[in-house]
Amino acid sequence: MILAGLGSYPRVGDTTELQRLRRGIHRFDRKEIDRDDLNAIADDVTAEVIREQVRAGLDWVTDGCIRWEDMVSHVANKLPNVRRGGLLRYFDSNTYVRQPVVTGPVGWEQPVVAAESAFAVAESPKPVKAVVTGPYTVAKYCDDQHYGSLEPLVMDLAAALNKELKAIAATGVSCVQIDEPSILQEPGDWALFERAITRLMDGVPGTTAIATYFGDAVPLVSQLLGLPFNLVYFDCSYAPLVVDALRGKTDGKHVGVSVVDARNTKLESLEDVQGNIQMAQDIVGSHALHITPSAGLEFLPRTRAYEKLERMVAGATVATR
Amino acid sequence: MANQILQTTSVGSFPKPDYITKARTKARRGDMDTAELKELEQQATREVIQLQEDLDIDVIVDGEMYRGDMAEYFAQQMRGFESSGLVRSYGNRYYHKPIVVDAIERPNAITVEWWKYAQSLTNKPVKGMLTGPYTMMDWSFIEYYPNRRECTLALARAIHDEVVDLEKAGATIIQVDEPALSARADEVELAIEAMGIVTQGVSAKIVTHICYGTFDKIYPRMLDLPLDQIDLEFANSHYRLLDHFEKNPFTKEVGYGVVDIHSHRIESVDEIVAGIKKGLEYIPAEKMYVDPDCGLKTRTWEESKAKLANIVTAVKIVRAEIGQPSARNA
Ligand SMILES: [Zn+2]
Repeated sequence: MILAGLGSYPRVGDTTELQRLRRGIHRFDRKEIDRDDLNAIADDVTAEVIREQVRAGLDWVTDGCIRWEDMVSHVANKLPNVRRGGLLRYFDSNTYVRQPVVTGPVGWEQPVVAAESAFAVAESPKPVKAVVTGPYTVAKYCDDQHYGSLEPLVMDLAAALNKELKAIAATGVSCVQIDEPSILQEPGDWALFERAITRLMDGVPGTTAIATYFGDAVPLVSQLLGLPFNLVYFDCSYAPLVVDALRGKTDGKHVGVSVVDARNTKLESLEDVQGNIQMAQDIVGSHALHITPSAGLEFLPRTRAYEKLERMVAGATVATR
Repeated sequence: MANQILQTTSVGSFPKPDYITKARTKARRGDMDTAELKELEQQATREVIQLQEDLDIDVIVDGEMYRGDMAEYFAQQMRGFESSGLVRSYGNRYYHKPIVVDAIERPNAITVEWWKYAQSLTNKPVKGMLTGPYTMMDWSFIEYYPNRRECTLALARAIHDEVVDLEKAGATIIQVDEPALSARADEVELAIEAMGIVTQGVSAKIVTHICYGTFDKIYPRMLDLPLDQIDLEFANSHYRLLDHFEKNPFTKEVGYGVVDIHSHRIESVDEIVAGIKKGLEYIPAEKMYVDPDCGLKTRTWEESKAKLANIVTAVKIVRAEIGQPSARNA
């Protein structure tokens, strides 16, 4: 069994010290510090967030997506022919993303996330998982002023992100995770989605994973398990029935099951966490099981995010005793 | 004015003048007392209402100078809420999200005093402005209630009391915003049930504003909301929402957004006239209230003024072209 987060982690906390990145960005925006100064702060906070995940007892860590403006635009807005647009609501989270405005054919010039992955690998005593939001979800948030239909945009994004993934894989991360929450909202787009994922993952070496969340994956369980990934993560806070739907379907695939809700501060009881882990073990088998929060943790206040990880680890410890 | 077609209005918030932003920060730090802050908020409210009077807007809003986040403002004045540690809103912006930690109650009227103040400044109707139960629930962490439904219904009962108090105070139009509704198509029925509680036995005109989202998944079901008017963002989707009305006619009054509030660009009068005319193919002029897409708080004062001025000019052009309906209800 492997315990991990799903990507993002709260980048600020409630103390002045824990808000240094927020202050740093303000000062950078006012030109009081330069890019190198800001990067140094982001490095420092990333290292701190990695230590926090290790201290909580996770087996795999992420860089917390500390440098990401949001989950959609961080990579997309740096691709050629994409510019940073207005704010757009991100799912039902009452948070907003910077809409990528597509003004021409989307390509790829240089890695965006790879340097961040390399930094995390160097900092972390534990295996590092890198996260990239997938072409379908990115495309669903784009203001497309060039293609005129979804398919060519998704496919060009898939080709561009394929190069990004290869650059990330070369940094020594232990897993590359693709986030595709939007497909749960639009199961009718599955054929296009599958083509895009095939293009995206073409020749990407190493362990790969796909994460879906913010929706009910039950209708898509078999299809998701059939995609070219080693590991599929499911949001069981949104759709608790998904665990049961996995019965008899995993066929050697590794499966990630969430046992704490990344979207609500209510702390799950140890008994509930332990019970859900045991049930998942019975259905999936301990060797193939990954335990996570339901989504990235950045929707929670910092202290509660940490407590949720601790609770998850405690539940797993009891469950496997 | 009661039978005026194509009445003009606004969705709610106006940009806060610098002195309000500064005063709110000072008050939060304890460097300004509430009386002093309130005086400034009243000054800003007077300016916002004067602006709407000068522009000849028909249905007035108070501009929400005394509010921060639209969920947090109500959470702070109800029982059962606490404030969370900082969470991200977007980019480098963070806020304290409400947490429901106990049974929700509304011990006192929340907006009535401000509504009375605003209404005392104008002879035109001022809208009562509330955040709806579904949105309050969706924009809070829920620790007390066992599920989202029970939390939403408790909020609906509290907000109903506020609607009743606003009506008693004299409000004839009350807006109960549900911007969160468009994000979760699977919970439309819950929002409808909750709105039924909010509006039960109320005779004031009830409006709701719903933000742009997965409209195709909540329309036409949203027409079952038990209220009079739904205010929607038409401009930012280039009026594509109207396509939905082809198959399923829009049956309520519409709040018809004709300028994009996310854009600095000032829409021309011609463009707005064309937008209104497109809408009139689907919705009769008597049932159309023309306004910006959403609250104006992210725009500058000058941008807001320019956008609203063009709306009023455009409306007057269309009114003149199509003529007033006979004063059949006068
Ligand atoms: Zn809106």
